[in-house]
Amino acid sequence: MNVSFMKSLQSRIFILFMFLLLCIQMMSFYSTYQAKQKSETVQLNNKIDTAKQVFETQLNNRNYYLNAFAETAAKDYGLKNVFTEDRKSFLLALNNHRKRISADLAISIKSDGEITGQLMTYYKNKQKKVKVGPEQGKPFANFETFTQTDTTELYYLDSNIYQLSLAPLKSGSRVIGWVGFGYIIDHNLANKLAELTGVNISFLLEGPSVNSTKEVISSNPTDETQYDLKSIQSINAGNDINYISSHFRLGEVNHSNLTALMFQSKVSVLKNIQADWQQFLIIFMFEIVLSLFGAYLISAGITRPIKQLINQIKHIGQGKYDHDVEIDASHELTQLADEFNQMKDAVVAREQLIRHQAYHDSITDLPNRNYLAERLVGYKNQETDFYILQINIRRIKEINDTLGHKVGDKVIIEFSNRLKEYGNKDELFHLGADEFVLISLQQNIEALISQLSVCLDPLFNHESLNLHLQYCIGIAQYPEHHSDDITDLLKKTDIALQYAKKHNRIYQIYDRQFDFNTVERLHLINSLKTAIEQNQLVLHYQPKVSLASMQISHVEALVRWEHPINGLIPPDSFISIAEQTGQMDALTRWVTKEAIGQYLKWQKLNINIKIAINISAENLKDKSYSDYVIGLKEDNNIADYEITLEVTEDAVLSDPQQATEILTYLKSHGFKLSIDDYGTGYSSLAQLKQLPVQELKIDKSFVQQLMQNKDDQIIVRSTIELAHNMGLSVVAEGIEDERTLLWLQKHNCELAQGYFISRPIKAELFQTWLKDCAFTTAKEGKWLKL
Amino acid sequence: MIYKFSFISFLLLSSQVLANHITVTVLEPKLAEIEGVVVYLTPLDKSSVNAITAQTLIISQNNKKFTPYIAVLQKGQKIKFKNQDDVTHHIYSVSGKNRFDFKVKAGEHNNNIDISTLGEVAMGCNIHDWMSGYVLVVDTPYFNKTTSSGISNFEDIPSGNYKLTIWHPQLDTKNNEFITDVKIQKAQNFQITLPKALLAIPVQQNQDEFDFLEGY
Repeated sequence: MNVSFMKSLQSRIFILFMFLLLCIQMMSFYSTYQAKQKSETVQLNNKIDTAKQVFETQLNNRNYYLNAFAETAAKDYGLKNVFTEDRKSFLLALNNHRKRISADLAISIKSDGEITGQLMTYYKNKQKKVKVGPEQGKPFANFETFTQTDTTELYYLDSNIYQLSLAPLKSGSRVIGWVGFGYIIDHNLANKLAELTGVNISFLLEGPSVNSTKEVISSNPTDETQYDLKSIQSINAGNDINYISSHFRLGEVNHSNLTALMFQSKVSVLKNIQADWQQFLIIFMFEIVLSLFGAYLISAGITRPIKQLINQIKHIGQGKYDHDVEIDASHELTQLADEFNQMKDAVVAREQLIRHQAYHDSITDLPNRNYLAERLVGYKNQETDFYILQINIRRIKEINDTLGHKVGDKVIIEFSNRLKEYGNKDELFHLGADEFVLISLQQNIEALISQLSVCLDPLFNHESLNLHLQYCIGIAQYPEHHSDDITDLLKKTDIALQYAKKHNRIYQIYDRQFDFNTVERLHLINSLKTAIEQNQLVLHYQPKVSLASMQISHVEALVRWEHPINGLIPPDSFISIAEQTGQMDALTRWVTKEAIGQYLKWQKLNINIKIAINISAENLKDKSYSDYVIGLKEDNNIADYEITLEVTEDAVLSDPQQATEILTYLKSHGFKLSIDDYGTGYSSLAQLKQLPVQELKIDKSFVQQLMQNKDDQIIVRSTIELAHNMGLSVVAEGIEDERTLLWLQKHNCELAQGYFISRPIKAELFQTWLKDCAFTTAKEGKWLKL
Repeated sequence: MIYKFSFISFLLLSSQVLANHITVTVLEPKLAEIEGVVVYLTPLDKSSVNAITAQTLIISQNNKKFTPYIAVLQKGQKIKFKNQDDVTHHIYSVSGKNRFDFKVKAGEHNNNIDISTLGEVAMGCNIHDWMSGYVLVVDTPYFNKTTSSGISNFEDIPSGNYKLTIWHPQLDTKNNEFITDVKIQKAQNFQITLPKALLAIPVQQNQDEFDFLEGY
C-alpha cells in the first residue's frame, strides 16, 4: 500500500510540497525561536542590568545626598557656632539638620575622634522617634576610614547598618570636628529599591569564610514567591539557573562585605515573552496545518486534470466513445487530451472498420455469419414468424478448378447481386464461399422459391461463356423448428440443405427426421462408452444357411444398442461413432466375448453352429486384439474354424501389409477369415490373392435385386466362380426371396444370409426360431464331433 | 609625635651680652627652606619681659583672602580687621577660647575684637567658605615668620633661656608646633630641620566658577 502510495504522483507532489513548506516553516520557526531565545537573553540581561543600574543610581543618589547634605550641614555657621557650645544646644541643632533630610542617623565627632553627638531614629508604636545613640561620648570606631574619604561608608550601629557620610566641620581651614548623616539599610529601602528596579532585592553580609552569607534584609518578593535564606544563598551563588541575578557590593562592615543581591525568576521576567511565544506556537501550528492543506491543494490541483484525464480515458477504454476528452488544465495536458481525442477518433474509425469486416463478407460486402447470429437473436426477440433459407451455389468448386478463383468469385458476386435484387425486405447474409442465408418474413414458401428462381435462374454470361447458376436451398421455419438455441436454426437449414443436395432438390424444408445423424449422434458419442460398460449393447444373431445341405450352420453376430431413451439404435449409427472416437477396439472385444460366450452356451445345448464376428480396421493395427481372441479361443478349447472373423475390404486396404500379417497370424491360430461386403470396395484381385482369407461375402447390394437385375446375376455368378477358383468359399447376404436362394444354390454359393431366412434375432429367441424354421441344423455335426 | 632634634648647630656670632642677634633657619626634612613659618622665642623667665608690641596687628580682607594668611599677635596687642574688599565679610572663629564673629562691611574695619587667650585662632568667613586665616596669640614679643629663604631674624634678644617654637597650621605635629629649648647668650644662628614637611596650604580662592560678581 505504501509502495502504491509512493508511486502516486499526487502523493509525491504532496510530499514534496509538504517537505518544502515544512522546511520553510521550520526555518522560520528556528529563526523565530532563535530570536526568542536572543530576546529572552536580552530581556533577562536588560532586566538585571537595568535593575543594577537603577539600584546603583539609587544608592549613589543616597550617597550623594548624604555627602552633599553633610557638607552643607558642616558649613552651616549655626551648627559650627554651637559645636563647642553646650551639648544640648548642639544636639538640637544637629537634630534640626537630621530632620531636613529625614536621616536615620546623625553624628558629630570631635577632631580627636570622640563622638560628641549621636542621634538615631527608632520606631515606637510605628512612630518614628529620635534618641541619643549609645556611642555618644565614646570614640568613633573607624575614624580614619571615614575621615579620609569623602564617600559614604557603612556604619554598624545597634544591629543596624547605615550608610553614613561625614563632612569636616571647619573654622576657616582648620578642621575642628566632623558631622555626619546616615540612612539605615532596612526593609523599607529594600522594598523601595525592589519597586524601582522591578526585581527582588536582598542585602547580604558575606564574611570571609565560605558559606557565611547571612541575609540582612530582603524586599517583599516581587514575583509572589517566598524566599528563604537557603534559596537566596543558592541564587547568590549562581547555582539556580531559573534565576537571573546580579550583585552590588556596598562596602565592608564588621569585616564582612555587604552585598546587595538583585534577582528575579526568569519565568516572571519572561512572562510576556512566554505569552507571546505561546501565541506564536499556536499560530505556528495553525500555519503547519495550513501548509499541509496548501500542499494537498497544490498536489491535488496539479494531479486533478491528470485524474480527469484518467477517468475519461477509462471511459473510452470501456468502449464509450460518445464524449471527447476535455480537461481544464495546462497547455501540455490539454494537448495530451487532444491527442487522446485524435487517438479515440482513430480507434473509433478502426473499430468501425473492424466491426464492418467482422460482420460483412469481404467479397460481397454482405452481412456475414456473425451478423446473422446477432440478427437471429433480434428476430427471436421480435417474436415474428420467419423462414430462414440457406442457399448454396452448387459446383462452385468445379468453377474454381476449371475457370479459376477469379471467375468463382465473380460468380459468387453475381449471385449475391441477384439475391440483393430480389432482396426487398428480406435480409440477406453471405456466410462465406458459396453459402448465403436469406431471412424472409414471407409466409408462402413456394411463392418465395419461385420469386427467387426468377432472379437466380438466368444464365450468367462470362466472357462469352454461359454459366447456369445451380443452387439448392435448405429451409427452416421459426418458430416451428426452433429449439433452445436460435442458431440451431442454421444447423437445421444446413441439414435440410444437405438433404436437398443429396436428393437433387432445389429446396428442402427441414424435417426432424433428417436430423438423427447430426444432433443425436453427438449425444451417442458420449453415451457409447457407458453403453459398453453398462451392457446396453446386445448381440443379435442372423443365421446363415449352408446351401448344399440347406442346414443352418452359421450365424453372424450383429451388435445392437438398446438405448434406454432412444430405443434400439441401428449399428450404422454407432459403429462409425465408435470408429471415430477410438472405441472400436473395446466394442469389438465386447462383441467377441459375448459371441463366444453364446457359442459356448449353444455348444452345451448341442446346437452346433459356427459363429461369425465382425472386426474392424482398428483390430488389425496390431496383435493385441488377435491375442485377445486367440486367448478366448484357447481358454475355451474351441475347435479350429468354428469362429469366422469378418473383415471389410476397406479395413484391409488401409494398411494391407499389416493387415495381411495380422490375418495370417489369426489364420495360423485356427480362425476362418472372411472378406465382408465384397464388391463395394476397390480391392484388386491381386490384393485379394495375397490375403490369407478363406471366404468372400458378396455385398447385399448385388444380391437384393438379383432376380430383377441381369447385371447383378453376372457379377454374383462370376464372383462365385472367381472365388472358387481362388479356393475361397462364398457367402451371399441380402437374400430376400426364395428364388434368389435357389439361384444361389444352383450356382454353388456355399452360404446364404438374409431376411428371407431370418432377420437378426436375439439369442433367446434364436433357439425357438431354430425349432420352428424350415431349415434343419447340423445336430449330427455336433454329434459327429462327439 | 616625634621630638627629635635632627640637627642643631650653634654658631657664635657676637659677644654682646644683652642684645643678641639670633637667626633661625627652618628647613624641611629634605632641607628645603620654608617660608612663612612662625618662629617665636618664649623666655622661660617671664618676668624678664614686659614689653607689649605697640603696633596694631592689621588683618586685611583683600580680594576675599585673609592677608596675611598667618598672623602673630602678642597677648595684649591690638588687632584690627580691615575689609579692603567691596563685599561684606562675616569673620568668625569657632575654635578654642578666642571665639568671635562679626560682620565687616566693604571698606570698613573692626578693631573691637579682643583676642586674649594664647594659642591658635582659626578664622574663616561665613560668606566666603574658602577664606582661611590664622592668628597665633603668643606671650612674647619675640616672634617672626620665615622669609622666602626660610630665615627668621631676631634683633636684641636678651641672653637667657628660651623656648624656641616653630608653628604653622599645616605643620603636622601636635598643636602644629615644634618646640626646642635654647639658651641665648650671644648672637646665634639656629638651623631647625622640621621632622615633617608641611601639609598643603589651603588656597584662599573660590573653587567655583562663580566670578560674575567680579563685575560689581
